[in-house]
Amino acid sequence: MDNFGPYQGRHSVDLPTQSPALVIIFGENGTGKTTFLNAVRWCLYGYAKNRLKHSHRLRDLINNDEFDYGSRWSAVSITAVADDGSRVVLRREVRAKGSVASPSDDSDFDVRCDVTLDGRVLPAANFDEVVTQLLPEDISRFFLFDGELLTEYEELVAAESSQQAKRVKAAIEQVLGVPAAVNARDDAAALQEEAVRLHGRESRKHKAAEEASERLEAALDTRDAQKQDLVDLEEMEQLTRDEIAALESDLAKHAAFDADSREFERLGNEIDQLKVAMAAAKVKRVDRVRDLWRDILEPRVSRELARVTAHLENMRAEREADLKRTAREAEIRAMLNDSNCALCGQRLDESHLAECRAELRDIATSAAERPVPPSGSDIQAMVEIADRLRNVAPAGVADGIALLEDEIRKIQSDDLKATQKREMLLKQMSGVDPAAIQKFRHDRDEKNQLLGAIEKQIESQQAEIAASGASVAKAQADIDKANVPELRRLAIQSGLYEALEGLFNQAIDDLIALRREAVAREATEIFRRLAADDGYEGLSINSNYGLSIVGPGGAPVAVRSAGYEQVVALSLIGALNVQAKRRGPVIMDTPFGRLDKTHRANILKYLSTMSSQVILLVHSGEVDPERGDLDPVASHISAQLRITHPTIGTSALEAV
Amino acid sequence: MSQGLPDSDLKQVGLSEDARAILAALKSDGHISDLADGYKMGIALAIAFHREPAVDGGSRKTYISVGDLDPDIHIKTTVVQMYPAWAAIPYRAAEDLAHQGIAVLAGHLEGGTPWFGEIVEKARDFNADVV
Repeated sequence: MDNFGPYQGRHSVDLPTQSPALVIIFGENGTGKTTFLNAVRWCLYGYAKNRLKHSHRLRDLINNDEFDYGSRWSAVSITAVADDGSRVVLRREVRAKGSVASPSDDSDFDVRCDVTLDGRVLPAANFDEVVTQLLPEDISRFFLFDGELLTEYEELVAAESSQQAKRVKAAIEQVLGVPAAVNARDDAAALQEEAVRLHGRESRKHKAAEEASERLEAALDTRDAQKQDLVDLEEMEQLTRDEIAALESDLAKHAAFDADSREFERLGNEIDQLKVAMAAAKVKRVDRVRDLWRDILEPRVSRELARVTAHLENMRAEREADLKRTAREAEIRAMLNDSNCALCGQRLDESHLAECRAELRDIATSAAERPVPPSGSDIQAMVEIADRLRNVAPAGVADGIALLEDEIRKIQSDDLKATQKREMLLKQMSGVDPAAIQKFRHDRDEKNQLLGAIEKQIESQQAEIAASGASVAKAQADIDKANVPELRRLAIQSGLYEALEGLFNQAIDDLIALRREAVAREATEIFRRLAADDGYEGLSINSNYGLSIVGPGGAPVAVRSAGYEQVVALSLIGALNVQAKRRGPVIMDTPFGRLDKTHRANILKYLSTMSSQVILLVHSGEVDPERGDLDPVASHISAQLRITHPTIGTSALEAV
Repeated sequence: MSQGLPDSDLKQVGLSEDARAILAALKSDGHISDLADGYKMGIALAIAFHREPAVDGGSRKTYISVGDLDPDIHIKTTVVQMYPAWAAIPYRAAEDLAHQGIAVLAGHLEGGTPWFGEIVEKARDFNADVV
């Protein structure tokens, strides 16, 4: 891919074509999984669908950043290995016309297709033919499969008579090889038509049948003109449908634009509110920060306070001890002076006096050995230091500030996400002209009215053709009445071709019925492998290939969950793959979107056997290797890749 | 007076151009309401991280009177107690400690934003590790 969608620059992927079959490409929502599938579709068939099932404009296919830098082109190249081993390289490129200053509409771009076969460059006109030989477009929906578009199958086959339903049915029968029988039937019809004309021409030579032959020729001419008119009407019908689809695509973009602009405004409001919240949080924080310095000092101050307090206690103890000693000294001196006991007042004898003198000496000795005891003023000074340190108390604002800062961090993160998303939306919305949308809506409504009128005309034309057919049959019968032997032989020949056509019609009906039953059997077999519930008997199929779940006792299950809708649709696709005249790579985008874990595991195992190359585009919610989701199919995986987001809005592929 | 230390204390503390620029940016970004808040935080950080005040502090312009900076003399009390050699000139010590602490604060900015909660946590852990 070169500059395709979010893939800026060149991104090449080498997908193994030999067994094992599975290639897993991981990518979260919005990273570029669907773009990968669209790259394949666009390269092969020239269209890429958005989530609303409408085709992207050519401008949308080109990487926005590269476009802004002036590189206004994009290309996708696929190298395919055909069943016979030949190597085909298909390349499709879109490029803005040099003469257009601001290219936006599809008409402002040129598309170029190149094809080489085993190194030989083929004419560009062969591109579509080569693609059809590899994987015809009308059956590609059963090989290039978008899980999110599953509802298309469900909606389309629900309304049996709708043109869309008829197209899906035709696509399915294309896969089953029915057209080959149809071609044979059409050849028989052409031969019958030629035989009728020959009958008419020869009849003119015989007078008895002349008048009837003129009527036959007139009826044939009328019918031919009516058939041509029918062809023209059908072409006009298809053209009108295509125009409506293009207008719907533009309107869908408007719907996306409306949604984007609402989201843009909402994000703007969210950012404004975040700014208000941020300002409020900062104001609170600034107010608390004023006193934070005290909390910062707290560890050292509290430690110092503890030290000072302990020292103060020691000082007090020393002083108290000193005071006691001083008091005792005074008491002893008084006793020595009076020779009387301080307690009882009795006269002291010499031995007691000697004890007193000894104690006095001890007191004097110990006093000399001790450091100078703290004075009252020393203690008072230390008390004052302790008080001053206590006053440097922590403010208690640190924890509150930490909480506010957590809040600020979250606000910053939310603001950044909202701002980046807003920038992406702005890029997406650029180039859309809201005023033009009104015209698109008007034109779309007019085209729908025209389409209704054309469909009515087709119906009436078909009725007229049938009436002309009756006129032809009547004229032929009248020619037979002339009973001319030569004409009789031509009539028999015409009748034989008609019978042959009828035989082929019957054969086609029988073939369709047989193939449909085979699809039902195969789909049932697959359904039983995929469904977690053993209670279901299988699937039944209607004329439009719609499948119904058959419950216990053969009763149809009327209502089924979105998840089971997906399982049923996957069963049909698997069955068509088995029944198809062609085999080819299967690419599935988000195949497990509506499925629970058990069904996902069942489907993963089944998919690994579905084709020789099955490429799955999944997100981590569907398949997570770290949860062991790939363990049951590990031996079937040949490669794993991941879509990354190197910068906002760009994608890249890398091997896991 | 300790050898090498000035005799007289400051009546007004100063702020270098670099430190002023840091505090001014914090104020203009709404992280502090006043330069004095950042100045005091710088002093506290330097003390919390056991920095030692130095004499040669570089060129500083007069910023604020000590009375306005430290009306409750909490800063003086703390400096006198933590740095006895500077007991007679506590505000000279505070001025140098402020600049060291402002440099610590600048080193903790993330894209210009200070996460004060983390800074306080680091100061607590530092002191828990100190024997």
